[in-house]
Amino acid sequence: MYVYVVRHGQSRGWPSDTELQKEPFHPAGAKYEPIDPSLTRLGHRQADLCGKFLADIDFDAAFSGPLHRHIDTAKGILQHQKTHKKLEILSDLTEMGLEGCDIIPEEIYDVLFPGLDILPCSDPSPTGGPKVLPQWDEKYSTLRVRAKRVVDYLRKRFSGSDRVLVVSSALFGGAALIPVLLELTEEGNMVDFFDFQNTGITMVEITDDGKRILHCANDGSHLILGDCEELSRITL
Amino acid sequence: MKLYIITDCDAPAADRTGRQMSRIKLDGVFYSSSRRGKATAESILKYQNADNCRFELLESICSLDGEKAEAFMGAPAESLLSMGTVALVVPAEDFGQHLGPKIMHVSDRALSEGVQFAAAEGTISMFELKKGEQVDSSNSFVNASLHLKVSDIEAIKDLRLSCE
Repeated sequence: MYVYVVRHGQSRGWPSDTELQKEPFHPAGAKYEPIDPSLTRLGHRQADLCGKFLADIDFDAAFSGPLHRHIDTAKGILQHQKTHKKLEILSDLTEMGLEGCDIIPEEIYDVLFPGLDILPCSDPSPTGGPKVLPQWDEKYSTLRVRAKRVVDYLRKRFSGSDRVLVVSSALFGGAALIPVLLELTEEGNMVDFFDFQNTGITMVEITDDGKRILHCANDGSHLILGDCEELSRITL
Repeated sequence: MKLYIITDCDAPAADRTGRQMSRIKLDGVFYSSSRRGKATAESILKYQNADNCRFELLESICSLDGEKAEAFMGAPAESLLSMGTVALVVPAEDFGQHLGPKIMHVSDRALSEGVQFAAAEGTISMFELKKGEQVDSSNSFVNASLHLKVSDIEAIKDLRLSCE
């Protein structure tokens, strides 16, 4: 199985006030913006470029966390797939520190993400965790509990040459999901935090006999190829 | 110091890699004695200001194995630290099996249990190194390869347009 872990594009949580003021909130999602910001215009462009980079990969399944920026990014990527793809939401893929938060309800998915075929997260989640993560003081160790649930779930469903897209966030992806995918989580190992820039792509192969191969980590070259200064500043 | 590692490759891919690296001002390009090492390094140098960029065979990255990669992370890497931004050109297998894991401090136990870096040709990796400190993985990437998947100039133009 080949797992493509992609960080979301730039979200409204990060740009300067000046940049943010240029971009109105989406009316339907405005209530949730303070804790669950959507992508900026730049974030949408990053997702679009990432989708073009991955267009020749025929994903067998696509997953994302439940956050607005996750789903926006997944939409930008999946629009370049040559065949119709459904997006499956997994609550375990959400970012650190947002457990228990009031995030976008699935009832308004159609309004916010028109044209995207979304399978909402069930309760309990397909990974075996809860649909709404309990409010707890998450540590890296508990992030990795979630990551392990996700990896175990993927390994049950996929094997061989199956290719899976997973859209998530920087802390959860870099400190939990990627180290767990690579089984690099033992104490004292220095590779416990992978960098994860906006729409950076990390691809890990897990062979059926359990070997882990890191094909690329935080590959953001789709953002620096062109001569768009704005994009190049952000990535390097 | 920013350490770029380029995996050696055949001429067309090497030229694309050189063009991709042209955005980065390199203070040195060092290569191993592999079959394609020097040729790939020349493709990188072609897009740099050769007057301000050292260009040398680096013995400490030739015929890498686990022990030699470990040794490279000592004095040889420290001497490169003072130069600024440098690129090393090594065979893909040497990066994937030895140098990459050593730089990223993948434990011997993890390696023995089947963790590998892919040995892909013509890719670009970058690591931030500081004297006396471990690699700063908060500013790194491994095996970036989009430049290899762009089949012609038209495709590059298309991507540039999409940035606007």
